[in-house]
Parts: sequence; structure tokens; C-alpha cells
Amino acid sequence: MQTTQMLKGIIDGCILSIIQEGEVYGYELASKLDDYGFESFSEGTIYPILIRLQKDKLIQSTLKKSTAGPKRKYYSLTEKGEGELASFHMRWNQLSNTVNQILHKGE
Amino acid sequence: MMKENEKFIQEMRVYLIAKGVDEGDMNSFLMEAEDHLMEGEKEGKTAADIFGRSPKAYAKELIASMDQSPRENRNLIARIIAGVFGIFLVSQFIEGNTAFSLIEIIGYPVSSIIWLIALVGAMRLSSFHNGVKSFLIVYALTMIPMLFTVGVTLLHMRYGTDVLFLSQPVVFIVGGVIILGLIANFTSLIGILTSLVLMVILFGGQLLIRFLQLEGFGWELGAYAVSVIGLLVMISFHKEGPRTFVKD
Repeated sequence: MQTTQMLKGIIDGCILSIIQEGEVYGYELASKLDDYGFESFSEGTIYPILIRLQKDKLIQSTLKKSTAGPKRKYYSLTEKGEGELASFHMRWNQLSNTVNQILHKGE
Repeated sequence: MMKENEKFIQEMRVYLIAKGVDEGDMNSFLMEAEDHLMEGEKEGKTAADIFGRSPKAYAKELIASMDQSPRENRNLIARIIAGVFGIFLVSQFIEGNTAFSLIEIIGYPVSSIIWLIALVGAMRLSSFHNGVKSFLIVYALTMIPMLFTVGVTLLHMRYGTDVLFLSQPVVFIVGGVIILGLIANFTSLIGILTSLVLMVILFGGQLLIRFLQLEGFGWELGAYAVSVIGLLVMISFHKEGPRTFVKD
């Protein structure tokens, strides 16, 4: 299975977590994902996800003037988003424990 | 911005419009994409690096997450059909045609609808292709409504008997109302000044020919050429003007 396929289910949680660190705009978010090690991830993929997260009211956006000139859209978590992130945390811990146990059995 | 990146934004805009995506969603995404491309440019990244090798596949992914607004879409289509038909009717009046046969009354509205379908189809199919291929697609698709319109005119000339006669005052009133309607219709889309310029471009040449009582095919063709060139100039100005506005 390709890494991108595996990523599909967990990228939303990762994005929510990065946004929780502080307000970000699109390019910044993509750079942070890259810095964390998601190198094979095509940067543009974040936009459909951001649109979906916003539609689900997990994140919100505000327009702010940027140094470059045009206005920039900054994303932050909503209360619902905080809740979703907390539950993602729990689900991930459970899942990674289980997978690790299976992969490292007998070690 | 790099040419390749600019092309990506333009094509994405055309594709999203043709797919009936909500205008606010579209402008908001294009603003972010433009910003992203410009930031990426500084690090030597191209549109293909950022949005993948297939812009069409990316656009599909994007549309799946966006609201396609059928109601807004239907309104826009209805307005465009009314607009095309209005323009056609006024130019018929200016040419002095005030009697219409059944073939014309049915044929021309139908041809405005076929025009619209062909234009939207051409926009969708031609996006993300290179210049020559995209030109051929637009050319081939606009030939269909063109032939249909010519067909209606030929049929009318051969078999048409006029059934609807409009007197001079009626023509003036109906023509005036249509022009006002057209200006109102286009104002919300492209602004009042551009709409007024559009009216002058569309009807100015023809009116001048009528007023100066110039006769002959050459003058007609000249007026047509002026309209087409005027439209092209207007479209290119529109492209260079301020493009992104955000509706939140």
C-alpha cells in the first residue's frame, strides 16, 4: 500500500494538530507538514482538506493583510475542532498501540 | 508570477466556473492558490510540484470538497440565455427586421440555448489542454450552434411566412426595454461601466450603419468585425484588471 493511501485517514488529525499550535495560512501549513516529514505529500492536497474541515466547522478562517500584499486566509481551530482533535488523539494512541503490538510481537 | 503558474490559475478558474462551483468558494481557493504559487516560486517550485502533474485530477478532487451551487448556476444560465436572445433581437430590430416567422420565433430562442450549451461545453473540454488543441475544441463546438443559426435563417428565407408584425413604436419600446434589461443583467456580473461599453460594442457599429444609411455587405461585415475586436479587447482588459475579490 502506498504511503498516501495510509495517510488518508490520519492527515485530517495531523492538520488539526498543526493548526492548534497557532494560526496558519496555506503555504505555512504545507511547509510545516513537510518539516515534520510528510515529504511525499503533494502540497496542494491540503486545500480540498481545508475546505472540507471548514465545511464540517472544525476550523475557521479569517482574512488578514499579508506582508506580500494580498490578503491571506489564516486558519484556526473551532471548539468542535478541539473536540475532534482530542478524540483523534485517543483513537490514534489506541490504533498505534495495537499495530505496534502486532508488528513487534516476540521482540 | 511565472507564466506556467498564471496559466494554472486561469485554467482552474475557467474549469471551476464551468462546473458551477459556488463563486465565493472559487475566489477564496484561487486567492490561496495564487499566494501558494508565489511563495513556492521563491523556492523554485512550479505549479506541477505543488498541485501535482494532472491539474484536471486536482480540480476534480477540489470540486468534490466544494459546494456546487445548482440554484446559482441555474440563475446564471437563465440570465445568459435571456442575454443572448435579447442581444439577438435588438440587432434584428436595428437591421430593420420587425416581422418574424414561426420558424424564427421558435428557432432563434432554441439556437440561443444551443449556443449556451456549446460555450459551456467548450469551456469545460478545452481547459487543461495546450493552445492548438483547446482552440480546435472551441472551434469545433461553436460550429454546431453557428450552423444551427444559419440553418434557421435559411429555413426562414425559404419557407418562412411572417406571422408576428411589430410596428415602429412597439419596436422602439421593446428594444429600449431589452437594452435596459441587458444593462441591468450584465451590471451585476461585470459592473455598470463595462456593461455600457459592452452595449456600445455590440450595437454601436450596427446603429452607425443605419443612421448613416450605409448599404452593402462590406459595411455589415465591418460592423461585425468591430464588435468582435471590441469584445476581445474588453476581455483582455478584464483579465488584467483586479481579479480576486473575496466573498466570505
